Amino acid sequence: MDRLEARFQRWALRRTAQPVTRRMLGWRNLYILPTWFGMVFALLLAVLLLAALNYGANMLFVMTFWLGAFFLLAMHRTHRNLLGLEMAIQVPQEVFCGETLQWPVVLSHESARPRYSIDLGWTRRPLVATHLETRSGRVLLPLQTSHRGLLACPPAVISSTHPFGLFRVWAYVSLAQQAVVYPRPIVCPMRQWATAMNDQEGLLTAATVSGNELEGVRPYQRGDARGRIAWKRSAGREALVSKMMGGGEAAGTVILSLEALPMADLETRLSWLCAMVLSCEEQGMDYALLLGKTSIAPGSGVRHCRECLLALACFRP
Amino acid sequence: MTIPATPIWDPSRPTAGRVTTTWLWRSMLVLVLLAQLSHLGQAPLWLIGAAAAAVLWRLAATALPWPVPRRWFVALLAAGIVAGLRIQVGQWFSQEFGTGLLVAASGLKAAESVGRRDLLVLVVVVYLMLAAVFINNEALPMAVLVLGLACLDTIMLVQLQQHPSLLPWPTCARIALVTLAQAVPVALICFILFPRLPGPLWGRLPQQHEALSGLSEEMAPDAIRSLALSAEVVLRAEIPDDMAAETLYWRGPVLWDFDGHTWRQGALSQGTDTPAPRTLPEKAGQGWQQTIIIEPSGQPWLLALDVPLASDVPGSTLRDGSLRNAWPLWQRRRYQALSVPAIAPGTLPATVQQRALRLPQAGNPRARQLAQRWQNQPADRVIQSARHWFKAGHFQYTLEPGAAPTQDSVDAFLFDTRSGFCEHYASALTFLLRAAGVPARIVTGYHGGAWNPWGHYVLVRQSSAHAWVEAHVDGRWLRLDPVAWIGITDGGRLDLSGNRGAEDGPMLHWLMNDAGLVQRLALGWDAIHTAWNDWVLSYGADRQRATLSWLRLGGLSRQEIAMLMVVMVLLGVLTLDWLGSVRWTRSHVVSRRYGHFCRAMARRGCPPQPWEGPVTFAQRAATRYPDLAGAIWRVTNAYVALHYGPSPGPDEKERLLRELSF
Repeated sequence: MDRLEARFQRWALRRTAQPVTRRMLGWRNLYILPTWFGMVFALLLAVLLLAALNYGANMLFVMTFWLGAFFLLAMHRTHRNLLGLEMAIQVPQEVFCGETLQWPVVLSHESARPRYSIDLGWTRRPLVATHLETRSGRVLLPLQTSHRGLLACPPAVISSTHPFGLFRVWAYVSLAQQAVVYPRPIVCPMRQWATAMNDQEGLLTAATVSGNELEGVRPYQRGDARGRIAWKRSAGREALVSKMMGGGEAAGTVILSLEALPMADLETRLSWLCAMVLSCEEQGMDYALLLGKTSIAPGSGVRHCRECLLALACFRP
Repeated sequence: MTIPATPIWDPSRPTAGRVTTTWLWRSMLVLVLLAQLSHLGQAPLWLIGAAAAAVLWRLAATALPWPVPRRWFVALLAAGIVAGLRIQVGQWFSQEFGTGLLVAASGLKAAESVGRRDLLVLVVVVYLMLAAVFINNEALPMAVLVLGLACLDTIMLVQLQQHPSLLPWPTCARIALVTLAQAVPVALICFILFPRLPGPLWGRLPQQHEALSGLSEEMAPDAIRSLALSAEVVLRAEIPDDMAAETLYWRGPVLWDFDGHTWRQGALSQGTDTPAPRTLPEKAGQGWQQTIIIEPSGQPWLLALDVPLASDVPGSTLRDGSLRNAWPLWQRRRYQALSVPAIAPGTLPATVQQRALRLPQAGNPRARQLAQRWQNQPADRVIQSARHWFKAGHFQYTLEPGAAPTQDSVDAFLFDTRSGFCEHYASALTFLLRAAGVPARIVTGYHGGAWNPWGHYVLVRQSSAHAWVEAHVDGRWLRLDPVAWIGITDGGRLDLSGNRGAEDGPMLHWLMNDAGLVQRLALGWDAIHTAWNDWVLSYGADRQRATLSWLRLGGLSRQEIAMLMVVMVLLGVLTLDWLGSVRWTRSHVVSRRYGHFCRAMARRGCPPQPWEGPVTFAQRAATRYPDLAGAIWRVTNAYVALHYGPSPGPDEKERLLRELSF
């Protein structure tokens, strides 16, 4: 059953056009079949018809035809629940590998008819359900990540059995959207890293740390890292104050280099670097990143951190 | 895209999916209970009681900390019920057994239900149970009740599919009822066009046989008396307006053979069973045209006014002047018949003549002696004498003549008791005529009927059962009604009921009177009931043929009709679907006007691209056509405000809509 459906999905995705940023659900890409319950209902209709024919009871005919017409109309109602719906997927918030990516799915339609019980998922099994009483809405569709890098949005399954549960209408929607998955941050367990933090030999080591001594405080400026705020000293004042570290610009910089890390496979080293970036950012240090041909100048702050993480996520040797 | 849609459930809380509320449980269980109760009078009472008790138990368990019964206990209970039902019904695989099982299953399933899936099973069981009611009872009130319950069942179906936080029950009810209402015209098409079979597919429903009463093919003493006390409806008929109630003789089986005790139809007389002509004469006035709806009798007789000549029932025959169907009537049936005042003259074949004169070897000496006095007279003189004899004999009409002796019953009636009802009179007269050498036979049927002014039809009940005599005189069969000779007609019986009313007091008498309120209401109700029977319940193969020819579809074959039905159903569904979408989109001016703008831009060579939102498109278009920039931005801003913004006030909306026109 699942294999059959997978084959059908491949076929269905082939016959729709290349991935676009939004997809209209129409007669061409919506499929509809009775659910298990729908088949039971059809069986009920067959039983009723047999009974009506045998007993020649006209009220049994009435009931059979009435429920039969209801069955047909239910199919149209279910189909209409998704018909004309437009689906788009926005760029999700970046996550670290292993976390759950939340793809923002935007559903909109032009008609005034409310749409109910729309199920979304990556397979037949829906993960979230939503309803649109207005013309558009946004829902987050979760996806568990397992690899760092640029993740193309997999084909989503949008389905609905509203309102009677007799039919299930569904569509496979493949949209051109990418998400960034940072490496999983892993603190380097080896002593080399711990010693390297104190090593003064510059670029040969993974990181160079200096300027750790507190020279004084200055008023808080935007962009100062959280770790740099002198919380205790700020306590009595009206405004925050930041720590002023000793040492020069160059000396106060940590340089994080992929090559300098001990031997391990690439993903592990990227994970270590990721943890280092986060740790440096946390402690409010300036840090630079050297990744093969890419190098990121020393800096700190949210934007710098994001740039580094992005480089780590997209790195290819 | 500013409106956030909140997910109704998410995977981290799996129980937050389609859950069932206590309220939902209770309404479903009450519905099961009602469906069970609609089987009252059909299924055994103890069975309905047991099933209802199981539902009530589960209903109580929604409020009290009672346990849901264990599986083995339910299985044990089921086995017990099946055994009890088998003993009561007496056979497996009968309709009665099946229906009983269904009622029992609904109760047991309700008792052990715990989840949403169980409720869905119950929904289907309730549909089945409701339909099963129609096998035995299709009366209008029951039909209204059952279809109403089916509507409720459908509402439950919608509610079970929803996330409860999503749709309040009035919305669910609206969805269900609107869809069911839309289904009505489609169902109507199927009902009219679906090919009907003249008989059952399998099994002749033997269990109905015992329940039926009516004329049979033999007449033992007191057979008609038991009918005379029954108010069951035999038939309803549209007849020519000018006929008086006394002249209505509804002809049934003819009885030939007498053994001194019972009259029987006997073997088929040679040459008397001929196919009834199916072509009814075009011109009225050649006879009495009747449209008759007959209730199931278990007998093949198609009652018609004395004497039927032709009918529209395929395969029907005329036997001894009575209309006979090819098989017994297990269903209500509607047919047309044409009757004439008398059977066409003709000489009797020798065998028939012999049969019409045959009497037991011995018995009833006094009657034979009386008949011997008339023996050598012509037939009409014999009848004249018999008539005088009855008139002068101080005969009484009574339904309580006392027990008749098993020997010489005709003598006892003619010379001792001199009181009896139509059966005694017909039996005695036939005996006398045969003994005097006049060929005679007994005709059973019904006499009279109540005219219903609302429905313009005559209603005949079992209490009108009657027997009369036919004598062969001068080459033709002549109807003789000895009961009429002694001055008692059907009116005698009406007086009886009138007297009963008088004893109960004048007010009640007025109410129960012929022209009284109750009588009128009863007649009105019967008129509605008849219309229901006429238009819905007796719509069978014949009626369908008539309807199709009225629709100018008479020439189509069965396959063509079926094809036509499928096409019409599909068209109907598509039309309803289209009407539904039109209603929803017509109000949506905003998209239409914006679409107009987009098409206008496309004509200028600048169509909106799929990846562009309205604002991006406006930027591109305005750069390309600077002279139109003002209009482009006006339209786009209005569209964005109307489509994505908070809903504006009426004036504001009016202004924005004006600005939206490109």
